[in-house]
Amino acid sequence: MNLADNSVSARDLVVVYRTARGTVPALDHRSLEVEGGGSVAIMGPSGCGKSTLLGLLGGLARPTSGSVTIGGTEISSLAEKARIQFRRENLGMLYQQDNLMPHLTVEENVGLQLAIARPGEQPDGDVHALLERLGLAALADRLPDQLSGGQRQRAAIARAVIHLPAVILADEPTGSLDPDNAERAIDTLIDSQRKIGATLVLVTHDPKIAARADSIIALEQPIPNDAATDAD
Amino acid sequence: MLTRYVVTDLWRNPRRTLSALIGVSLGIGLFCGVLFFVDGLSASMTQRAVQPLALDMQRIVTEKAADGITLTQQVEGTGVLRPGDRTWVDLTVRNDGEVQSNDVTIRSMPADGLNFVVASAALDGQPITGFSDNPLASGQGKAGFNLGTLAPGATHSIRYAVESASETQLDDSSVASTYSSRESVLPVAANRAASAGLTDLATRISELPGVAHASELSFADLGSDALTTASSTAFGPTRIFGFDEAYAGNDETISIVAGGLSAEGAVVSAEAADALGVAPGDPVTVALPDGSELELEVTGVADLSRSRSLFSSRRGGDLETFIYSRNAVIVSPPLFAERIFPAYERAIAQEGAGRFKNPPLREIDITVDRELLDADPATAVGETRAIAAEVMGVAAPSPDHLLDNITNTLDVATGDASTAKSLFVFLGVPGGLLAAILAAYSGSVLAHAQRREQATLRIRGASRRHLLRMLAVRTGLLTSVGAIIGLVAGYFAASIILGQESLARASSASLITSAWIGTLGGFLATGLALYLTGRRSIDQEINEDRALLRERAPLWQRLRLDLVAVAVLVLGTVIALRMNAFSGQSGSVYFGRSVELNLALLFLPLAAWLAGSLIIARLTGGVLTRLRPPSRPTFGRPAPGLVRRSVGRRPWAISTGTIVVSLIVGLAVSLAAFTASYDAAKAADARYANGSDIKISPSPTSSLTYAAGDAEVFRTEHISEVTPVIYGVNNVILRSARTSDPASLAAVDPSGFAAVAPVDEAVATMLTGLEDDPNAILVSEEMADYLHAEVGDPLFVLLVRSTDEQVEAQMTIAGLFERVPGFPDGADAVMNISTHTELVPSKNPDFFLAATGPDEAALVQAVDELRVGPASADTLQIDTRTTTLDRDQSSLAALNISGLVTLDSGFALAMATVTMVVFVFGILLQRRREYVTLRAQGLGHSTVRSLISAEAALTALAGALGGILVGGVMGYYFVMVLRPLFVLTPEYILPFAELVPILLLVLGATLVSSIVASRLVNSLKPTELLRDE
Repeated sequence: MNLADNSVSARDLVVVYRTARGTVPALDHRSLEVEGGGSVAIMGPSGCGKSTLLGLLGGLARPTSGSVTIGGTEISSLAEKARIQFRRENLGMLYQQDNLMPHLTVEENVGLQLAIARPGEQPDGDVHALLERLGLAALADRLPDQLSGGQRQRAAIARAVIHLPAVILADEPTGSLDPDNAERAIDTLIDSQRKIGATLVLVTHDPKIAARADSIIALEQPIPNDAATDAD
Repeated sequence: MLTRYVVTDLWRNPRRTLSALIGVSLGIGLFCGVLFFVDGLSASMTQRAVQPLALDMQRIVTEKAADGITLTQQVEGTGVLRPGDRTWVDLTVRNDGEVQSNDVTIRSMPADGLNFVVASAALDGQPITGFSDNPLASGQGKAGFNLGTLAPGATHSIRYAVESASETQLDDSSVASTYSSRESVLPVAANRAASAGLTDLATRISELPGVAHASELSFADLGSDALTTASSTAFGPTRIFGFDEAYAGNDETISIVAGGLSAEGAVVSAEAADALGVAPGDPVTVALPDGSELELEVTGVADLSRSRSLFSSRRGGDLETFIYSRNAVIVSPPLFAERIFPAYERAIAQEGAGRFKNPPLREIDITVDRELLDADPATAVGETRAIAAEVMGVAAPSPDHLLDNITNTLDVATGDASTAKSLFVFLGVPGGLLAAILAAYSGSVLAHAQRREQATLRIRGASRRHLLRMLAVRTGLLTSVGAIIGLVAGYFAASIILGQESLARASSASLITSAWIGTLGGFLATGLALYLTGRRSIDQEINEDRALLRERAPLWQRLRLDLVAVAVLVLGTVIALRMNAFSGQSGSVYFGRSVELNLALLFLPLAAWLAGSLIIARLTGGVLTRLRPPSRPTFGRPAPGLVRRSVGRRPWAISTGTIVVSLIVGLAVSLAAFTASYDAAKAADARYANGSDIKISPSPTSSLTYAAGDAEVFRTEHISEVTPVIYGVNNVILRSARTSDPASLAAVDPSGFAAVAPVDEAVATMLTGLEDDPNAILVSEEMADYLHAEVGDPLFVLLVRSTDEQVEAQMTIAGLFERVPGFPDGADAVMNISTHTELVPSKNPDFFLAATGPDEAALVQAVDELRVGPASADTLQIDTRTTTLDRDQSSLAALNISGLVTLDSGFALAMATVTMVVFVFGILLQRRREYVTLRAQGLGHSTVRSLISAEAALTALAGALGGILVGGVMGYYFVMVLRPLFVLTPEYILPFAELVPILLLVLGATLVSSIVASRLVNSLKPTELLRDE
């Protein structure tokens, strides 16, 4: 799926969850514009919809209303299979936990993402070069349990960028790291993002981390609203 | 608070709850089911054990012919005799019989505390001299005083004094006096009650509680050629019976085929009627032993050829051997008492008792009210003993003795029941173990899935104690509900397999006990398994030792329990073989012994089961580890790459699942193998006893005769081979150079017999020798030993003994055999039927043996063909291997082994299904985060599903194949340990056709649970990876 550019655009996004006690708004008419290759940090109090927004941008969920467009493709209107394919090829995901496959070595975790995104390619060189650049070459054949938290998160960053995604979505990527490792991880992330020219959307609570982004968007707590429709 | 949280948690996670609950329920259900099954089966053992009995009890009236002596004893005075006091003892002996009694000997001895007064004894008023002490108990042997011959009506009185040595209470037991005579050798006590008449005795016994019928039976063996008409003689010995219509009506094997019993006439056996050419209305003459003759009108003809009650031996050595007499006469009991019995008295008086090896025997045959007997033989045996005591209490004291067949049978059945219970409980033990293993497996999966929740709870302040309390509550709730469901499931399963009627016969007490043991035992076993696995998980979570855990092999492998179990198995097997422990002892009602199983050996199949499954798991883990690829960034296609790395780097999930599946499939396979071997061995036993698939015996009432050459008459579409057999109990006299003895000879067509009868190789070879040499004879090792004869020795055989056609032939012993099939009463010798026919042309075969092949349907069809064919025109008795098996109640043959196996297998396969479901859901629960991450990375549902399915399929396949191997070995051990259940050495059968459904079921369960799991994969939402807000 070829993209026109790396820009990310979200318009008037609404997400409402239906519960036994009525409907709960998770996101209330939010919009977002990020230029291709730029980075944006999303901040806000707990429950304001940061991660929900990230899920919509990553095509992991569909909004109740509104649209998400990445590189000219409106992913919010894509069918499930198309969204999966879009995500596979164009997005890199990073989470608070590393979520590495515990039975795969570092290079295999990274290689798996490449195999998923570009099946049939022989990526030895790409993977090794990336691991070298991220300081993980010596740990390439280690399993995640044999790594420190910071090393695991860097391996997760490698996995998120190996397939040269158009957009990197990161949800509190330093949330479970100590300050030193957090600093190093965010350096690695931003460095990698810039190297591949991807657009970065970063959800964080940490102002210091947010400050590393080109811009910051602050979200507020949505007002309960019974009139909205269901979320996906 | 904690309880509410746990209940809510269980309610909101139905898949986890149900997985654990079904596992627990199945385990407890199997355990309870086996216990209920044992209750139901035990409850029917009494009825099954006594069903084939011809006579429940026989009170043998020992008053012999020529025994009309009465001895009365009286001690003077009453009360206490002081030391030095004297009193007198008066004895009167009188012959009330019609004939004299010889060597009448009186023996009388004072009891302790009383001394005989020397020289005080007097006979008919004259002092008895020449004795230094008591002449009535003189010398070391305390021999009595011989009065010589007592003529009919003669009386003698004896009087002697006794002196008290210490203070003694006088009563009837102060002196013990007996008499004996040449005619009545056994001493008879003084003051014996006047002998009650047989009819009176039968009436009084029949009124006893617990007695259904009591009828008198008298019989005597008359000499040869005793039954005649004016123009013909029924050659050979004749047995004369005295019984009435009530007796005949109570024994369905007594078949009056023409006319009926009468007060003055006689019913003759069909063979005798045929030999004499008589019919109802014709006269016959019976020659009595005193030389007199009894003229009788034939009022009926009877077929007695299968009446075990009339022809079973009453002698201790060969009790119940069927010794048939072709010539038989039945008269009424009064006629027997008035004419036959006195004739014997006179003959014995004239010629002495020694001339008659079998003097007249009089007995009361008693049928116990079997419906009243307790269902459990152990209790029933006490009831029949009480009835036996009551029976002997009638007209007591009496020298009569009782053949208590029903108590003997129930004694054997009690032993069998006890063995059966042990056996069944043992066969249930694997079920109980499986219950605990499955609970532990479910528990470990459940606990693993809860690690994250437990971590969250700890973050929120829950201590280890809180978590353990929650675990205890969860375990308690799951096992309580599981126990109740299991109890109900077990009851219904046993009820379906045994039938509600059988289960209803079991006592409430035993059912309640089983329910308690089953639920409590199951509750504790499964509860402990669930709790301990959960506790381990909590401790692991607390220790945060994840990396180490991933690397470490399971505890059983670290401790090398599999190798220890194999070593124990090998050692146990070697010891058992060296001690010859597998041979045991077969059971037999006839020999009064139950099956002896060495139950200690039953640990061997268990060891094989556990060791085999652990070894299979070790091998599976080893193979998977070898498949582990080296670390490479090139991944290829994601699904195969992920599966190879997953199973290679964490094989323990699969190997643990393999253990459980292997144990379950192994149990099912071993039970299937055992049942197949058991059924085949029992069928072989029955075929061996029957002689072949079908045994066709022409009836004595038959209008047709079948010569040896008529075997083809019985050949039908489904009967491939028929062969004639001449056989009879004690039908010949064998005489060697050293001695002679009556023997049971079988004359067979060597090649035909070898073709239809299940002869072993040695006998088959010997039969060939019979074919080659017409004068050859085979002799049993036991008979050869008695005759002091060896192979090659000459042997004289008196064929058709005691008939006018008896002829002695000189033959040569061609071989010695241990046993030959087809002769439950034993065959001492085997010869060629052609030779027999040449020597005795008139002797027709006693039966024909026919082969149909192993197919049950062919057997049924062959019997149908015989019934519409030869049997439609004639009376033929058709016995099959099936009817013989049905009659075989002498050991554990009657046990519903296949029922238990069905119960075990049913639950085992259900457990296999649950195991695979637990495995699949366990994987899903444990690796949920991995799968969600893969989905977020862009892998489709189908790829994630294939990852789960591949691991489940590997587990199912490794477990099922391993289980078949393990079950094969376990089943072999089962058959070895239970070998004493069989007469013949059982052939081990692994029923491959029955293994296919087991494999299909396990794989089907894997497929179904994978499909269900795939629906859950569809519901996995990658958004759950995003941080909780």
